[in-house]
Amino acid sequence: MELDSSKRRRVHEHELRHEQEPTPAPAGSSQEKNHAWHGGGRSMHGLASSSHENPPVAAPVKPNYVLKYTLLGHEKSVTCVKFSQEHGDCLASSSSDSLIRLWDADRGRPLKAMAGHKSGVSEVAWSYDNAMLVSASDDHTCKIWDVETGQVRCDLVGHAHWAFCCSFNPEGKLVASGSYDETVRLWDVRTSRCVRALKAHSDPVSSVSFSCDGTVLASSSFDGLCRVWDLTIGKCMQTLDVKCGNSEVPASCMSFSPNSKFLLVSTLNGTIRLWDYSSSKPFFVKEYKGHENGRYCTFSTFVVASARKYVLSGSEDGKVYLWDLQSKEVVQILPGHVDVVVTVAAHPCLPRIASGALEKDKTVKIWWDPSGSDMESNTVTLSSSARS
Amino acid sequence: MNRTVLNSFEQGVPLTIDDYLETAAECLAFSRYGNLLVLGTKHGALEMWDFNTRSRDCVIAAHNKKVSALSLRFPPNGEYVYTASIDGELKLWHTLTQRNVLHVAFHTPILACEAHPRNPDFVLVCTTKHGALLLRITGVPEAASPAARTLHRAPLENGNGLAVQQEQMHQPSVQSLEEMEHQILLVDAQSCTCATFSPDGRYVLAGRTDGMVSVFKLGEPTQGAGAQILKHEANFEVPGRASIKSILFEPEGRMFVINSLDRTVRLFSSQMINASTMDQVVSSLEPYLLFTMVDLVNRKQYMHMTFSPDGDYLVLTLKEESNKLNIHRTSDGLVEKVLEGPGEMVGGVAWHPFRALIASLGGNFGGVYVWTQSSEEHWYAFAPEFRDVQENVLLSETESEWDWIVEKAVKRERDGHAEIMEIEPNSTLYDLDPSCPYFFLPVTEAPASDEYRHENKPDNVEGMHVRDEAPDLRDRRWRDDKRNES
Repeated sequence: MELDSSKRRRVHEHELRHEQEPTPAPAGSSQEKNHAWHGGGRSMHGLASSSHENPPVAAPVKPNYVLKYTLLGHEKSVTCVKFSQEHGDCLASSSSDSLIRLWDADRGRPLKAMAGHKSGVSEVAWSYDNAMLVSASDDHTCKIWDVETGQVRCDLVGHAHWAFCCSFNPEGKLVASGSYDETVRLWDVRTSRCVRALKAHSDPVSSVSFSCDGTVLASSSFDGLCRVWDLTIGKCMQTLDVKCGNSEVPASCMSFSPNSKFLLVSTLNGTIRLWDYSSSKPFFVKEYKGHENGRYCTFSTFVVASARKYVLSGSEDGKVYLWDLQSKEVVQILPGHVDVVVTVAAHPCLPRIASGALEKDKTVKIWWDPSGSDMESNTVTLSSSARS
Repeated sequence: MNRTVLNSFEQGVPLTIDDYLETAAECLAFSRYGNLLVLGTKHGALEMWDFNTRSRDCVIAAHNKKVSALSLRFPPNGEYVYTASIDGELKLWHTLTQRNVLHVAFHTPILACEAHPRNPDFVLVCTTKHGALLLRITGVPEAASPAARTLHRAPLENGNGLAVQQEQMHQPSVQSLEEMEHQILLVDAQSCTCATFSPDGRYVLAGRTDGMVSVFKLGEPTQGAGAQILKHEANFEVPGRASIKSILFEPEGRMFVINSLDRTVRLFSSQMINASTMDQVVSSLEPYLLFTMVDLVNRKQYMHMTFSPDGDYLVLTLKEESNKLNIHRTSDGLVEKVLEGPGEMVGGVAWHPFRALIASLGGNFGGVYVWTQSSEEHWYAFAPEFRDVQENVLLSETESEWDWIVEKAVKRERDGHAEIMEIEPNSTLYDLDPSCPYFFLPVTEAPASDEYRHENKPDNVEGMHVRDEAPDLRDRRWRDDKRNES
């Protein structure tokens, strides 16, 4: 498996760079990816009703995201940003400096820093009720955090290599994590016990994601495959060859669409594709190109808060790219970061996005679209003022 | 979401024991979506198990003696659960807050209770002394209030939501049978041994000691109070005239089984009940006896019964028999499969609401055996574009079989409108019932660290600072609005 080793080498190089610095931690091998689920937790079945159908002939308004806040605090690469579920008033960011930081996403203020990992953190994910966070770290563990106290609730120990990606199921009872040891593990949140270890792939697992009703788990890997698992019976049900026969292309990020009908898969040839995984011969319906992505597991996600839906991804040229979901055109490019943008996240209900970049930049940026937020911003004003 | 990827050949009967849940259960029930397994234990506790992770969600100390029966109040998603005990008490629990919202003392062991399948106000109780009673329960707080669901949702505020809510809720006073007199609709007095609702909730079937079954029609609750709601419709005689032990309807109401003390289970077509929907009493019409099931070898008494969700199979267990589940086909009454488990006898059985999965109770210790189909991996699923075939297919190798096709991707793109928000109906294995919202119990227990709760300020974030950039016009307006509000 040449692909395997080459990809790993990339990461090792990155690690070496860290180790030349005085910091002792082997740290942030991890640069990567995202997805965010907008459907959110318990509303998994309310999603259908909450979505307003937009005819494809929506007004051809381009998004107009402008920089709102730049959040400084992380001392190394920002590896993941995620808005909290439902209201999105809190932003969690993880970094190679082994910290997880929480930010007030409305006002751009730091809330707290959560320390506990011994090495860089690759991904962080919210539970449906925002009471817990799960993080995957290069110290081979995942940790579940109590958001209110900022303390570690439990350690998920079992991976034999860097834990790379993690996700809560919609009920917040199960955590899936993927690792460089090529397995996907399912953990019971209550007991912090590994309930199932899936020998999922033949290369490091780059992302895991639950469908909005929690019955399906998907995993993607550097071996260029995405696998779809039925959790009710715990078996692999489908394999997607997302590299499309091209044997050199790892799948770097994968996430379910809000209705879980499609998988948005990024591959390390600068392509993001929207796959319909349900038929016996999976096919993709959309292909988004234009950004640079050949080296890092850059997150990609959907922007669903506005009337038109977009696909959002970071890029290795330090910019954030937005594509129109249906027409596949690049509709906005956000410059601002000075290093590779590895992580992006979309607000669950407002036209806001967050992005984070690597070593030379170390910042998290929050971008607002003032044109699209007339109605919704009032609700946020109320809720945030009620809290203060 | 899983229906599209599941193999349609999978459905059938379970074959092997897949899991064992260690508990001491006496009775069991699945919630509507199969995500919760509700158990009543020998120690009087009500246990809610998350069936996806196979772990205990909560344990409620419900009774002093063993829980003899439980039933999920409508909507049957597990939010409200009736428990009945041999200590003679019927209680209704709100499982999210673990709150007892109803407490009725019967002073006689309760053998069975069954909530009305469509109406949250009614519950059917079978006691040893009073026979079968239909209770009308009013004044219970409305189910599935959104506030209850958001109790755990304020992570950055003081997390006191749940505790405060619990204090405000009143504890129910113990109601004796006499106090509730006006709410009791007597089905039948002493001679009644068991009673059940039809799945549409319009009829009540009551079995009696003399081998007769009385059919009652349940009127609209608004029509009046008391016994007028329940109208006697017909009687029919079960062949053999032995005392009736239990009656069970098929989930869709097309047939029902009667377990009699003559060690026979009889499967009836419920034609009569459908025929009398036009308010015409057709008592002359006998329900049509389809099949009779007898344990020919040992002549043992049947104990527990359950139907598969599609009604194709009927599971029967025998008294004092080792852990054996007889799965009969309802199409011809014959045995499809006998599942044999280890050791103890069977203390109860329930079929998962949409999967080929049976949970059975061990009669001695009360552990739960989970029977599923074989857990073989689908190796074909691991290779892209492989497919499972039911029979061998002769491979016809084409000329280009091993040719390297450079651009496969071209064939794999089908451009089209991508709808990412709308959830298609039937995308999940189970059908979402609009009248039954999805319900689950959140992970509640949190590490105790009270001193931290008071200092929720971001004081541990020195060294972080924020640049406020590009405050545009709109933003200023937004701030002005905010200032005006405060």
